[in-house]
Amino acid sequence: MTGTVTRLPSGHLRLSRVSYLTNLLHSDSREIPIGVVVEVTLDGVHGIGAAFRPSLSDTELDRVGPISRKLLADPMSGLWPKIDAAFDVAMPGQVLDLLCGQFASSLSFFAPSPLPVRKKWLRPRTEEEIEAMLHDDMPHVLEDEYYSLLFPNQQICDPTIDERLRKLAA
Amino acid sequence: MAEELTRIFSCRSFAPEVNAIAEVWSTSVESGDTWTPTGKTWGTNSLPFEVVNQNNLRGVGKPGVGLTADRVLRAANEKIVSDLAYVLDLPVPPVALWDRGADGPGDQYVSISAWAFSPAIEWPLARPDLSDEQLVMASHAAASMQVFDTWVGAQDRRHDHVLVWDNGDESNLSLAFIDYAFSLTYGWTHPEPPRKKPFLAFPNGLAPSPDATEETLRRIEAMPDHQIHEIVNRIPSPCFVDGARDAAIAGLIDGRDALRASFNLMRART
Repeated sequence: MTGTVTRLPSGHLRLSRVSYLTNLLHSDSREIPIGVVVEVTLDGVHGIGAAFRPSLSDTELDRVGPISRKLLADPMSGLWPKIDAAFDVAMPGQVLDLLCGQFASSLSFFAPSPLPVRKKWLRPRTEEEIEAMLHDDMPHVLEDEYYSLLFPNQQICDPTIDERLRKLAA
Repeated sequence: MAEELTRIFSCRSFAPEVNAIAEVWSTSVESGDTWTPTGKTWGTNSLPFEVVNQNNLRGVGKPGVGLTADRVLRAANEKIVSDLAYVLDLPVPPVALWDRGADGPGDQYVSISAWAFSPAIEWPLARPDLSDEQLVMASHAAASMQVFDTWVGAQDRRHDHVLVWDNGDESNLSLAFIDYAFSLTYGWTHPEPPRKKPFLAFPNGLAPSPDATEETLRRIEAMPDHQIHEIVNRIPSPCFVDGARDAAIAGLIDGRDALRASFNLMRART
């Protein structure tokens, strides 16, 4: 018997919502949506991206604890370094899990949920091509999830989007 | 005076309504509330999920549905440790059990942990903003909790399991030590001696507080056998596997009696 074995590209895409619970004791209180973080692992490429609100209103910031306020005055500036640090130490595919452990009280990164991987991402390509494709596509994924999951019925200003892609170690 | 001592040595200074909850929950198994999952879940290893009661009180349930059966007695461990901490005035939030019925999804009993205060922030995020006075208070709490964590065999201690009350009061410090799912029988088997040396202190990197260590040792040593039996024996049987209840009781009693020797050894080495 003869045959050909072809390695099929595989990929995972997961999303974690980020919110600030203004009153941990009571559920009839304001929950401030902050944004979304997405992690992708795709055939040798590992990436993470985030879409956060550019800023919180003064009314919202008044409901945030003083220390957390420093992180959330400008969510991307406050949180992206934490995400970046997690990216540096976590195994590929486990960055969101690490962040969920680090932020699990008033400011919560909630449990990651899987997102469908776009079919075109799974076509055989070089790592450079995959990186270029993700650089093009990830902002759209982030923006879609940002609007659809966090603010389904509201008009809001554009999110601040940042992303980072890195080849896995060979 | 006792309250002042507790504030100094343990930083147990929960929100007043949580103190009232603790008073009730610490002497009962279930809270008598109707709990409803909200759909919020966190991504940590016990798959905790949010519940609310009929008065909109939030709680954190463990273990979550879908957890692979790993024989970790999360509900029992969380409840026993919280009740012991209440007796000792140590800063572990109140825990009640919730009976979801034998035919429901997941474990029959889950632990429901109340939040200690609001807003809360994890220690690593709060530390750079704490005053020198607060860091001294934290060193007392770390020493106290090192003794307690060693006693209850707490295996999963991390800096982000220490919550700080983010209330802007730089002259005081309120801490909550959470997540004791991996304690007690997780690392114990009966009749194996439960521990040989002190566990790491959390938060670490602070000047040790021998007074807090001594005070907590004294409190634990003063806990009578019957109180340990009572706290463990009121946990419903479905929360345990064979032999685990006996292992928990034996581990706590034997460990209580061996605790001072462990810490004396540590002092001799340092």
